[in-house]
Parts: sequence; C-alpha cells; structure tokens
Amino acid sequence: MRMRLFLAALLFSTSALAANPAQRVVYDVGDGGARFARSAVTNVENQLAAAKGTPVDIVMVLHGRGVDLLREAKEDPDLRHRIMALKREGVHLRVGAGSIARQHLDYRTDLFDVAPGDIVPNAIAELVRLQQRGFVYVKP
Amino acid sequence: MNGNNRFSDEFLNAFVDDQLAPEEKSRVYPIVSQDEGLNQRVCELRKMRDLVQLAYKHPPMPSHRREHRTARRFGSAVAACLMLMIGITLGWLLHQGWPAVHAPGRQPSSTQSGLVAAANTGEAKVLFHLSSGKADRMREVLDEAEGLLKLYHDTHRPARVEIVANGAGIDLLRANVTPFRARIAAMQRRYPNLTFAACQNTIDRMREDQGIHTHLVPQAIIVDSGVAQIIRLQRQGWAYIQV
Repeated sequence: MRMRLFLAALLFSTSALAANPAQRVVYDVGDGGARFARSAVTNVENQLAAAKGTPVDIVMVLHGRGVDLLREAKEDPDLRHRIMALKREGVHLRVGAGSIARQHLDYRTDLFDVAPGDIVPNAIAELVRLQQRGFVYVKP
Repeated sequence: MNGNNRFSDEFLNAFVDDQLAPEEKSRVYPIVSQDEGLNQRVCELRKMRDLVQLAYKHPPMPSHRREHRTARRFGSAVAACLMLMIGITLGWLLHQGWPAVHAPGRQPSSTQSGLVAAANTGEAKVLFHLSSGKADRMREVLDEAEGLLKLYHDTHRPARVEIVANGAGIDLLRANVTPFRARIAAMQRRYPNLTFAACQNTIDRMREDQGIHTHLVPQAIIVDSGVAQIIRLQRQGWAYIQV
C-alpha cells in the first residue's frame, strides 16, 4: 500500500512537471533517394493531420541519401510548399554535416532553405540525443 | 537450482539491467542459456523489472478511493504528500540538469532507471538494428557505429554501442560469410564499449530450415532473441537506430 502510494506520488510529481504534453517524434530520414524522402514528408503530414491541433514537437533528421529531399525541393515547387507548410507547423529539419561534406554540397546553393543552425555535426548523434530527451524514433 | 548459486542476486540484477561490461556479459549469456534454473531466475528478474517500469507508466489512479478515507489512510496521505514534495524537488533537480532541446522539455520516461542513470552519468547508450544482409547496409551500420564511437571517444563522453543483428542481418557476424571480418575485429580492438549481438532465434531457424550451422566471428555474443534484446535495451533508455 505504502509502496503504491509512493509510486503514485512519484509519478504524479513527474507528470506535474510535464506541463507540455506535446507529441515528440524524431524521423530518421537516411534512406535511398528523393522518393523515400518524399514519403517521409507524407508520414509527417499524416502525423500532423492525426494530431488534430495537439501540440507536436517533430524533428526530421536528414542524412546520407535522405539529403536528396532538399536537393529535389530546389527543383520542385510543390515539394517546397509542402516543406514550408511543415515548418509553419513547427517541424524542424536537421541535416548531417558529414552527409553534406561527403556529397560535396553547398548548403546555401544546393539545398532548399537550410540555415547554419539546421546543420548538426553528426546526424546519428542527433538521433540519439533527441531520443534521450524523450523523442520517439520513427524510421519511415 | 544449482545455477542460482553461481551468481549473486546483485550480479544477476546487473545483468538484467545491462550494467555489466561487454566481456562479463558475453561470459554470462552462454551460461544462462544453458542452465534452466538460472534462465528462469533471469526471466523472473526481467519480468519484475518490466512490471516496475509498467507501474511507473500506468499508475493506479487513487481518486475514487478518497471517498472512504480513514485515519490510517490520512496518515498514508500525509506520507504520500511528503513523498510528492520530495519527488517534485528531485524531479526538478534532475530536470534542471538536462540541457533544453527546443523548449524546456519533458522526459516522459524519466522515471525509468536506465534513462535516469544515463542522464546522470552522461553516458550515451545506442543500439543499432541490422536485419538486412545487403553488403551496403552492413557497411552502413559499421560506418555509423564507428563514426558515433569516434565522436564520443573524441569528446570524452562515456558510451556503449550495441549492434543487434537478426534475420538476414546475421550474415554480418557469420565468420565465413561476412565481408567485414577484419573490420569487425579491428573495431572491437579499438572500442571495447562496442558489442556485436547475434540472435539465437535466427541461428536456430537457419539450422532447422536450411541445415546451416552458424559459425560466428569471435567478437559476437549471442542473445536469446534479437527483438527481445531491442525491446529490453530501449526500456533501459537505449536510443534506437534502424539501419
């Protein structure tokens, strides 16, 4: 009895701290080519639609071939609009520095709407960091 | 029962909570899997740990019990309030210790022992899951694990990395099949905090279905089930990366 009360009290105290009940999800976008990256965009759109106004905290981590998404967006106005719409909903995009370097890309000219702050030193470490902060991991 | 005496409860608990060093772990796995009594004891400990974690996740809702309160219950309530205050203070202190991400975020599973330990020691625990036998996927998992281990090593961050291979992915760890035998050995020499784990279920299935007797590279340990291992580690606060 005392143990259960203790557990309940401990839980209540931690949930009381959790003032922000946002859905926190990190998308691992590292897969082959623009078509897969596009399907990641669709996944996030679907999640936002399902959340129906519930606060969301979504990060898409682009690395490897996943970076193709932002190369395609340079050429494709429809994809640009979809990405902008996601950003307006509070979705963050992060791009691995290693992927940019290995593919000899200039983020200012080759990729759509990437700010220096969107570039993370190591994409995998970013996926780890966010999971350790309570983000749920999804690989589209 | 004889197996129960071979390891202390503390040791088995450390095993279940994955607090052992890789070499200790790989020593225990085969012994546990061959000793039925010991295996049962480990199963019970795991069940207990999972139940405790579930209790944190789904607390009993005490609201409807307040109606018939007695003096004794009042005492319990005072105790609970005290615990609540301690809990809030503790939670707040831990909370302050975590660097903010976007907003001062919440830690939904912060009550899980593994995550609290990880946050306190700053230890990164990362699990890679490989289920594909394609060479480029194998290379990818080794590249990503090595990049991460190097980063943590260079930044002096304590870390543990485990690559769990099941299904066709087990080819990465098959001594006569893997194209990366030398690289696996070199990575293991360089990073003792790296574990290669092969799924026992996959090994059994390959023997039964195809008559293949699997020989693993010496760096690989065997886990009862790749999927169960992935679930266990995630519950203990390990981050998950699918390759």
